[in-house]
Amino acid sequence: MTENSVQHEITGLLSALRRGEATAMDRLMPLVYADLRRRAHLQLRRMPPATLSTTGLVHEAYLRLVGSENTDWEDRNHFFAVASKAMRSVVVDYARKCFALKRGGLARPVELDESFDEGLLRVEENAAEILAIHQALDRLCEIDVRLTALVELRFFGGLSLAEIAEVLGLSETTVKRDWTKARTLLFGLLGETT
Amino acid sequence: MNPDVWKRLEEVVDQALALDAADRRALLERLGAEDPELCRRLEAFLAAEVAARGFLDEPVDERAAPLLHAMGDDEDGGDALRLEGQTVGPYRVLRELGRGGMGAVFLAERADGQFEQRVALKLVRRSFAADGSLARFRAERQILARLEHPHIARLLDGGVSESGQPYFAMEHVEGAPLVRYCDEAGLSIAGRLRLFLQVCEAVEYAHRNLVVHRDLKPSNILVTSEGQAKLLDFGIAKVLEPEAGNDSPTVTLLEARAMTPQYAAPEQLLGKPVTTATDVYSLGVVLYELLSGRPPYRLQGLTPAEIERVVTGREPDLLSSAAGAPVSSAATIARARGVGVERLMRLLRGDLDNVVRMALRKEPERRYASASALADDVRRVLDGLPIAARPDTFAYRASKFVRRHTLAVAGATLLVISLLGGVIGTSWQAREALRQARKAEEVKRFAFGLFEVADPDIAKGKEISARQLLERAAQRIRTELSDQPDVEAEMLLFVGNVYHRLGMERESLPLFESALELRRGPLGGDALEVAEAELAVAGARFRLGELEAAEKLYESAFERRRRRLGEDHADTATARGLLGRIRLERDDLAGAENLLRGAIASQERRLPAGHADLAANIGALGRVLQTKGDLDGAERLYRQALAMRRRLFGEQHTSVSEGLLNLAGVMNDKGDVRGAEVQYRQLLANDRRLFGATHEAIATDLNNLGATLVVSGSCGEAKVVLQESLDVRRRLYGADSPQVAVAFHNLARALHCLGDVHAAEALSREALARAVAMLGEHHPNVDRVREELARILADQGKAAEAEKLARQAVATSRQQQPADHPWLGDALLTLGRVLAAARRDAEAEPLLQEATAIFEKRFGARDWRTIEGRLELEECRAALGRQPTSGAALAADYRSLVDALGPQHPLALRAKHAAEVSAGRRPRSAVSPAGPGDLG
Repeated sequence: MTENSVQHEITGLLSALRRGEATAMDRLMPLVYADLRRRAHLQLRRMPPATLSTTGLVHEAYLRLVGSENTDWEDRNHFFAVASKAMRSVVVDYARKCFALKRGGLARPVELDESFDEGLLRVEENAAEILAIHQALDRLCEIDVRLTALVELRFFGGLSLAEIAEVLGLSETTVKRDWTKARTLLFGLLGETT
Repeated sequence: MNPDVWKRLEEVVDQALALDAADRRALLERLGAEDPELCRRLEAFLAAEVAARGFLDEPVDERAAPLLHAMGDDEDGGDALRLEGQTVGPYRVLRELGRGGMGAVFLAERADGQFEQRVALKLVRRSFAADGSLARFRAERQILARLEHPHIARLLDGGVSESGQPYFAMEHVEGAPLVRYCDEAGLSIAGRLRLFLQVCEAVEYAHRNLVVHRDLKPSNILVTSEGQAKLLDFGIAKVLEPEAGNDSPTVTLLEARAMTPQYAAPEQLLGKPVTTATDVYSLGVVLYELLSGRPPYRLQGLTPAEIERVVTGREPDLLSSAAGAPVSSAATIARARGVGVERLMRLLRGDLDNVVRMALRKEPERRYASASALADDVRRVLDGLPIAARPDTFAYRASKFVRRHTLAVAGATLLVISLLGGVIGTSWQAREALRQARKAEEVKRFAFGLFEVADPDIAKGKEISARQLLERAAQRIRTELSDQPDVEAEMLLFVGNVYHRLGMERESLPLFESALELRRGPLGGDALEVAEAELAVAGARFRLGELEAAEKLYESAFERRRRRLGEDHADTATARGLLGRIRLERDDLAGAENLLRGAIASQERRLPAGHADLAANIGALGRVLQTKGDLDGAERLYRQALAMRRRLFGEQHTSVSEGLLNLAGVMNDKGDVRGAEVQYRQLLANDRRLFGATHEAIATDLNNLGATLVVSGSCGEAKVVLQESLDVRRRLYGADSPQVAVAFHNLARALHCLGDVHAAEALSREALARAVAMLGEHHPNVDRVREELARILADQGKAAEAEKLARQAVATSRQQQPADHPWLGDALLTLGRVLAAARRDAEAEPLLQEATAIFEKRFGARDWRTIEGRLELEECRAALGRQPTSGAALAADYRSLVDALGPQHPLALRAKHAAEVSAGRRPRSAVSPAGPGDLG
């Protein structure tokens, strides 16, 4: 599928979403997910140290897939929500994989490239953190869906509070207050993770 | 927590978040009464909110990036897990050997069973192979396959599998990477060098076959169990380069090319042609790491652009320093090399340093011409022969290709120690970060060690005084650190500073001087370290009163800093200020003013929030102005400095005291007696809390307050205060010390003011005797005492002696002071008074006139001292039968005095009397109603 046709499909799906079609989200997610994953990967083909911006990817994806001509705020809202979710999936996937490898009983391979070594410990720690946040977020979803989406937008999507306010069509004060609540709840739930 | 509970909680949370603390408490109270459970939850939430602040403030990038990077390979090459047992080309993968930036390496064997040989199969990331590099590889493969050398792992084969996976098959080498091998074997420096020679040989061989490795690094060099080195991945890097033009222009070469930045040569990073010299550079890096334990540059966390800047522009740390820091790993490193830390550093200094430097030169043409040239020099080091490499010349350093990276310069080295906690903080900026870091570690270690007292007496619970501790410290420094002059100097400065902080200047001086000597010596530090030591000695000498010696050192330190750091550097400004202050003490006002203004200008720019040093400089400039006579200017500066000090330190601090002292002094000079009194009281209160009851500062404060009180007429209180000052000084210095003289003098004035003339006379005589003994006959301060005695005598009618003393004072003042100096005025006033008291008004009149003119010129017409002169003159002229001055003028004088000194002040009363006489309300009388009050 060429990029243009992907774009086209996504736009169509967003409209469908707007119209309330239930299946639109299901079809939209994989597209965006695949796109983001591919892009994340492209960035990483370069040599270390890789400066990766997951949030940059989300923004970039928006521009590419939805395009700035489509300024309908509902579409934008949906797209970012989806993209943030997708980004969450991508990141969590990697975190899981990293964990699996670690626990996978394989002897630790000999490192031939020393500059790689330093990153390894960080990777493990970060993976653990991300998974913990992910699980806590799942629990938050059972309590308040709206706030969960807010965390996805902020943390995985990398949008600023001002941008979120714009995307959601809310006042910044409201968003700030919501963020405080979301963060507090999540923090508490995090403490409950074993 | 379930959704419903949350819904209810959210409502009150929303309310609470919108309230301020007080209203929030009210809300909680109300809620507590209505719904305790909800209230509890709300409280918990609010507490959690505080704890959660900052959580998730940053998006996931920070955490995700290393993850994605680490796991990214999988997309292309497939999971390592999945490869086991798979075939790639003619090979079957057995197991993974390792993973690197370019791809992963696997142990494999021929799938067709043709050869027994096991190979190391390197699977390269798809992306690298995508753009035509394979074609190039096939062309190169011939050459590479021909490389046969005992220290080179042979490239056997290469290609692309059916699934499109590119691979290289190499001779499988069982061995450990070079650095690890050497560390685990504990190889000595010599042993490492010998291994390194093998590597050089291999590289030289390849070069002769026109193959450049391009990616030499320790991980590419394995050492077998027989101690044979094997180089891997020869020439592969070249093959993998993407075609020029395919790269997006924004990507730096570092990102596009397959190279490890730590070992890449500058020309590689800049995209310039790669030659055999490139390999020489990489060999240099390998050697550096092999010897010192770490690579020459710290590149962690830098962006590719920054890395480029560092590698192409910054000089690597000295080999010897690299090995030495930090101490803990230095020990490990040294142990791995079978030597002690100091020996290691010594070994690495000098020749090896130079060899490494030459290999690491930024310009290829300045390095060793070949790997074998490098090997030759290494052999010479092993054999103890002189080497070919030369240290960098000044010209080289000055060349524009090498941008000398000068780090921030060390400021004054002040090590602060809290003896109670044994905590040592250091407050300097590293000039050469590594060297200072190493030294700092050494110093800290040593310093902590100093205060571990291994004395058995301590175990028994006896106390050791700080003095003993310091003496011991000084001894240990001299004995234990004699082979490390730089650390020794540092420690000497440290302990010297502790002495200084304890006020033991005499004890600090020899330590500082030793430090200076060490630093000046051949093994010593650079100009800035010498400057630092010079300042320490200068400070000690200054505090001991050796001003001339101190001045020379301040000058020298200032010049050094100015030359090395430039005019405008913070440390130059500091030194400038110090020099200005010493010039002030040496009475070079013009010089002092110049320097201080310069220092202040520079510091004000850099330190908008203020700084202790800046405040001191401002205060010093104030003193300059005060001495020059610009009292208003001085007062402004003192106030500025004082405000800054208060901001920085709070009220109770010695520098605030100093500021108050200055301010009070100038107010006194300006004639604002009551203002000065306020400052002196504050000062005394501060100092009591700072110093306790018996301290020179207290004695001085009491003295100053007392003198001011005498002037303002509160002589009863003045007497008490001055008596206390005298007592303190007696306790501090003994009854016969010269410092007691000042106390006697002021007390005499107070007693005189109170009318106790006999006691006053006795004290005053005593004061005069001591003053003469201390200062000599002709010192201005001696005149002050003389004048007072003269006044006391005059009030008792002992005119002859009074006159003699007063004339003496006038004569000295005329000789020593300019014609308009207030001291001369004082002397004239005294003599005039004495004569007037003896009814020699005609003689008195011109003197009083002259005195009044001087005061008027100096202090202005409304100043109380001028008015006092006018009053004396008025009374004198009255005695001579002249017309009185206009009542209005006198009334105005009276009012001024009331303002300055209060209505009950004897001077004010005299003025009142004079005004009333003139207005005709009172008869003239030759005797003024005021008592023997002398207020001069």
